[in-house]
Amino acid sequence: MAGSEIALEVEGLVKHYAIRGAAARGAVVRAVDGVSLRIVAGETLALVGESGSGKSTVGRMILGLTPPTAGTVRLFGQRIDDLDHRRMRALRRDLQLVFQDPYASLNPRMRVVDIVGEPLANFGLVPAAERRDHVTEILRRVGLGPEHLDRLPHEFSGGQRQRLGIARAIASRPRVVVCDEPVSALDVSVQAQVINLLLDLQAEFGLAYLFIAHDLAVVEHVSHRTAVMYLGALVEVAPTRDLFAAPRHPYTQALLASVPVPDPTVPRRPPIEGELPSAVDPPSGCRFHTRCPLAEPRCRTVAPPLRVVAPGHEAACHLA
Amino acid sequence: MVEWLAALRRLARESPTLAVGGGTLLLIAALGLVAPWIAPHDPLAIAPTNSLEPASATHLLGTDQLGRDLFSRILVGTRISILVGAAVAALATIGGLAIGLLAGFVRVLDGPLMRVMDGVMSIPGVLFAIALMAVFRASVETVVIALAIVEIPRVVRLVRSVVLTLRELPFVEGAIVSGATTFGIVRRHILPNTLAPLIVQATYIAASAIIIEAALSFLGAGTPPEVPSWGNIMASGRAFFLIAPMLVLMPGVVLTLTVLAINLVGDGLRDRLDPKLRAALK
Repeated sequence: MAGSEIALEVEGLVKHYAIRGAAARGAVVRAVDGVSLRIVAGETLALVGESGSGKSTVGRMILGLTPPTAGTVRLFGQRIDDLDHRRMRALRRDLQLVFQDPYASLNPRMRVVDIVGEPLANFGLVPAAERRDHVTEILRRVGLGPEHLDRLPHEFSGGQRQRLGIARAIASRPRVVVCDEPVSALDVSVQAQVINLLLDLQAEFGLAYLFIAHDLAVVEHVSHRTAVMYLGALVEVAPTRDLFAAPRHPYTQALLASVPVPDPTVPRRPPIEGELPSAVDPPSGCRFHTRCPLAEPRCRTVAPPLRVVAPGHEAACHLA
Repeated sequence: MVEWLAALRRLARESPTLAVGGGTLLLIAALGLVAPWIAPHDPLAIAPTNSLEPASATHLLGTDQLGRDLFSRILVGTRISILVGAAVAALATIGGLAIGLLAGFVRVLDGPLMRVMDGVMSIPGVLFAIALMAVFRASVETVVIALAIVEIPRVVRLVRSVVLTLRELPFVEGAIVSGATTFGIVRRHILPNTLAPLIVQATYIAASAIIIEAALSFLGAGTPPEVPSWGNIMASGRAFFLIAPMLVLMPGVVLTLTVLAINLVGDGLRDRLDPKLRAALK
């Protein structure tokens, strides 16, 4: 993986939402506050964090579904965050998305052949006459058969629907796929199948994944590197193995400690105290200092930048 | 033919309201369509010697004060009601769909368009029709245009709300990611999912248009007297209600039946076109 081409590069991505209403004049929700990421071709970068940490918003900004307040997105070196609709549409062929909700992400009135064939038609990749055969081949890749071509989404199980969503995403042969919690809506028994499918497709097509998730067990299994988000900012980025073996940021440590161990003799570590602070008025200095067990006076005033603490391992903590 | 009958029988079992309403409506519309050829008498032929006759073999429902055959007049009057109902529903639906899509998709137009619609919605239909009638000429077209304009805001509100709901749904975002153009999204993802509530709304518009047209004609502000319509038949017969109650009752009964049939069709379609309700029907 090392030294390969940079597939996706995100630099200083920011999303602020203005709050309406007289009482909140000028107030903004800092959903994402300066996130920078790099993914090389064929790599999986996991983006983990609690609900409300801004991880899905990062994914949406990369895909151009939410306009960023600031920052840049580059796909294979080309800037894509400032493109007009026409040029962005042409580029989407290379940049696809797998949704969290396999029910709402498929049009209930369209047949499988049209759902999976939509990118083929929109990008003008396959003539209409050959589309059916082409879709059959894509379905085979995701483990579905030609008998499914003319069915409607409601005739499928959750796992099968997610296979359809994946089929639609890979139909245009993209090089980067954002997976926004692709298995969190599925039964545990089905999760493994879908994850293995994603891994197989990565091996076959050399896909780069941005894998947005909150299930750490899944992340440990699929990703090469993991980025941890807290309240709109990255707190730690490291190769997955290093991150799970030796987390450097207290938040990451607490997050990993919160994973239940299936052994009653192992004592449970104390959970993180308090609630996720409001993104309207994030804490000064280090954003985690209000809940951090190790917080020092400087943590309240000086925001720690993301810095290299070991080879390939970055953490945003004064004490790391 | 056998398959056809089987499909009809299944429809009657699954959606009896739709079958009864649809059947009645089809019958009324068909009778209206062929009325000029099957009417036993000329609806305009005056015969002063036969005025206010009771029902008989020659005059099925009797005659009015000018000796015109009531049955033939009601039969021919069906055409006006069905025409007004269908035309108003079609115009209001098409106009409302276009404006609703614009309001739902073009954010800068949303505010201005919806405020205009609020304004139009505040105009009472009957009053607006009478005003238009005074400015232009009393004709069926004027009635249709007046009622369509007044009904448009209802359709706009419906379409806009459906569009606003749909455009946030993941499958529409999926289409964007899949490279769909705005036009492609509207055509393949928004329109098919808007159609079901729209058709149901159209039936209610048709029913209300038929009632308002009858009211206008009754007030003398609708169709001109030489065109028989249920409203003006009732209007001209009301002075003779004690002698010949049929003159008022029969057009009223037919009007009620028609509106009831349309509303049954609307309710039946609403239940059938909603996939969730449909599953519950089985």
